[in-house]
Amino acid sequence: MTQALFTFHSSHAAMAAEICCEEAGFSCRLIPLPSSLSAGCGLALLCPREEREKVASLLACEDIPFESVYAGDRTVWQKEQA
Amino acid sequence: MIYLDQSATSLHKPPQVAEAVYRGLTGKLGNPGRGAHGPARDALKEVAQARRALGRYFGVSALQVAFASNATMALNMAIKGALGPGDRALTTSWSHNAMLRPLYQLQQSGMTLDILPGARLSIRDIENALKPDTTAVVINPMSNVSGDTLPLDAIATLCLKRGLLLIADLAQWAGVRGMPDVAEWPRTLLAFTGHKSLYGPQGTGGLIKLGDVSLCPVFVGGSGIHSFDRDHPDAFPEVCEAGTANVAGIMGLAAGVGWLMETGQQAVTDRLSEHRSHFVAGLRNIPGVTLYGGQLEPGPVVALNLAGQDSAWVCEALDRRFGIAVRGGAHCAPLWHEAMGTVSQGVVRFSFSYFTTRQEIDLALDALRQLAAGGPC
Repeated sequence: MTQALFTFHSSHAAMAAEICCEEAGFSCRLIPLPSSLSAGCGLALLCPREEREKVASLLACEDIPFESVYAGDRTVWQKEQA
Repeated sequence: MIYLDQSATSLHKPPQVAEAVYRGLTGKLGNPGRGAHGPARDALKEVAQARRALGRYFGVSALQVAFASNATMALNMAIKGALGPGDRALTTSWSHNAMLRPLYQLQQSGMTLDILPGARLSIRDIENALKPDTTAVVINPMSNVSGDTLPLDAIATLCLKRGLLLIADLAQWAGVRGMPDVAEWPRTLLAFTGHKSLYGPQGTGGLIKLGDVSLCPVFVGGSGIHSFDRDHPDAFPEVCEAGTANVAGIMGLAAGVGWLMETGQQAVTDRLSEHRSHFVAGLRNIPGVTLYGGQLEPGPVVALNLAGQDSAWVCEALDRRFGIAVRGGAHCAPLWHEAMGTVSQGVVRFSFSYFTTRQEIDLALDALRQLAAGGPC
């Protein structure tokens, strides 16, 4: 469980999230949504697990809605409470 | 050539606009939101940055901005997406056909439409024209023919007080006047175009949504998300953005808005006011000039006629003999022409840009002086 993954309803929100995180200095990046997960948008924001709370706060602060948040690694993801 | 038709489109643009469009067409950008590979992500990022630039300019968040091809398309999406048979909408004689025609279509399908007549309007007129069952005010706060303005902020306050939806056509306003603080505004849809005083390319514009406005999609199709749903997404901005975006155009629009913010809206507004004042002062010495409107804190637009001459012939003479580009005839605002009594004559419209020079205005005045002295064009 070393990483967190934010999923989104829309690609616009996903990209807005990546831009905000970049500007805030977080080491986040957009990746294709893993096949095991389901979300409105085919892009998801990957970040180190320790940055999860800060990223969630930043997105809330910037009015960028996300769909779900997962913890896991490349193959196994567990949904967490947003 | 002297171009004084900014209200139709901006001819002279900051150089960074064309540079941005070129950058969008040089083989690095894919389809935004369609796939997760590098070129698709890069295109999505350009659109997202543009959305942020527009959001900063209008004082809203990026995801409150949807892109469209122009203000007409945005107004169709706003009016047909938000209003229906149960609504009663109020508009005015200043409305452009971009608002009137969608409203007339809805009227035919059961919506009630009230139109405030007269060429000289005030906030009190609007308030008095509201009925107990009015649900929306659909307004053009800056006439595209005379430049006259209505107080946008006061209209928003009125709508907030009465619980009305506000739909505003900012085609002429955006880039000419600063945006009021929209933080306390009511449910609002603001349509803008990119190619006039935001100095972007033609084929760009958009819609801004404030508050809890429920929009039905007018255009449906590919959205890049929820591919297995039969219905188009109803979330904003996707509800307004079916199909592939005009990425290069949107990049150009962002560059135009970036230039505007660097230059400063107030500096632009002041220069445009000076242009108009100088032109109108010069007109006072030309016999036979009739001015229309222009008393209500006007934008950089002047509507006039020369004696009883057909406005189209005056424009033709200005173009052919003096190389001055202005627009004559009817200006897509039929009720304004009816109110002003210019249905058959039309009007000659001069409109100014930040890049218009004092010398160009003086040459236009001199040309009008010669035409006025020389009899029929």
